Amino acid sequence: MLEGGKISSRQAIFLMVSMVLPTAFLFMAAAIAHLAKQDGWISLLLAVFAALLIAWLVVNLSLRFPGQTIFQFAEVILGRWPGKVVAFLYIWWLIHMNAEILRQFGSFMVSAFMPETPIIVFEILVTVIAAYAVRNGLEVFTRVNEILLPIILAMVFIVNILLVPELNLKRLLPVYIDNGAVPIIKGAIMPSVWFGEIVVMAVLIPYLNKAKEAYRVAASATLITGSILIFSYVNSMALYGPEAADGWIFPSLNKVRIVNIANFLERLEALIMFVWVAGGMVKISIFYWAAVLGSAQWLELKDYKPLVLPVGVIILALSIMAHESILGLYTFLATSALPFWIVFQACIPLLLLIAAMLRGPRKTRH
Amino acid sequence: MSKLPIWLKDMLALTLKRELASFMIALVLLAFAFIIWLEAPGLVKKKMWRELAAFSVFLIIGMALTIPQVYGIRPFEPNAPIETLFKPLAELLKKP
Repeated sequence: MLEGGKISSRQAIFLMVSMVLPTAFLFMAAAIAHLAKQDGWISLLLAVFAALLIAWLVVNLSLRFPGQTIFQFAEVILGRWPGKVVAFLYIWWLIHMNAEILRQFGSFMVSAFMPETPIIVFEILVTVIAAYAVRNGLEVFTRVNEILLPIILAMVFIVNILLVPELNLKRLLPVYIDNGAVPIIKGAIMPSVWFGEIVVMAVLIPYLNKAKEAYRVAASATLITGSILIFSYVNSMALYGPEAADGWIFPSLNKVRIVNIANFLERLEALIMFVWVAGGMVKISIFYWAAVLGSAQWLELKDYKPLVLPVGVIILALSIMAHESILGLYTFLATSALPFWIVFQACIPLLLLIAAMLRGPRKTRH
Repeated sequence: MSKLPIWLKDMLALTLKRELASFMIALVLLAFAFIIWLEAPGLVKKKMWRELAAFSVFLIIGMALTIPQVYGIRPFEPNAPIETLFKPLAELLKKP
């Protein structure tokens, strides 16, 4: 086996929460606010249900092939060459996704904190750290994440709770009447796709020490992430009101700048920076690891470590050339990226599941 | 500096840009040499030829994507096909 590590269910839940939370926390609120205004929390609720469906789909599919990742069981289901094509598409998707995440990481650092620094500086730094983590294997960055995630969650809660004196819950009214159903459903698409990153479970499940608990892992990770994001969204909305929340690129950052308690506790951007750097590093490591492991399994290599640095170079190069500016990135993430990602998160797994059901149980299990 | 004629300024700027590019390209090549130095000897020693081939192919793709960017050329637009393919759906998502 390529990857010798085994992780517990709790570690897997932590990993899946860190995988969705940091980027969603910073990048998503404005896009939802643009579409669903004060009813964005209904969109998020819908998105949690959609993500639970995606999670059920992926886990059900993976558990049919114990000990195999999606890159291997695609071949079992579809036959050798069609399976290779599907696995290749997934590797491309993971690499492309990781390039976008890396670009988000760099863009945030540049546009929010260090506008004079070239974006490549942050991207190289985080890629080198992630490459080191990936080379050391799954267990290493899982354990790092076990330390970081509680701090990240504490930061998110502290920031939101310090804002309570400024909130006005009337800004969430009227519920539903202003918008109607269509904007709310449109607003649900982006969060469902971001929660749908849980599809990485298809790579992770063989490395759980209790694979049977995978349903519980995927569901609890989605519910935890969903409730934190709903809490944070309601908080932003009650703070700004729908029009202002739409205007910011990073509402979660700007609301920290508002915190001022007794003229003493203010300028808490460092907390958000911590959430972003720590969470972003873990998130990039997960996708990086999945892409490298997938490439090694696709080429039937004995070891994935030699591929870590070359894949990192490709991810870095793609992330730099993907967009001209943060606005291009933002438009892409809020529009064309969504249907593209849905194909990989829901359509292909659904087709694979149908094909697997039609073929019935196979002898090739081990 | 401000007394210089414009054409001379342009030429200076261009030379500076070229110098910068050649400096950057040296850095990039150094980085690639470092990656090869890290990985390749171990693979050769362990006779893992398949892994070495995969490593080289990925690294060559990486070089092909990186080196043109040093000269300010984007080799291709990774998102252009996605944007064209999903344009109608994307337009729907732009407005509430």
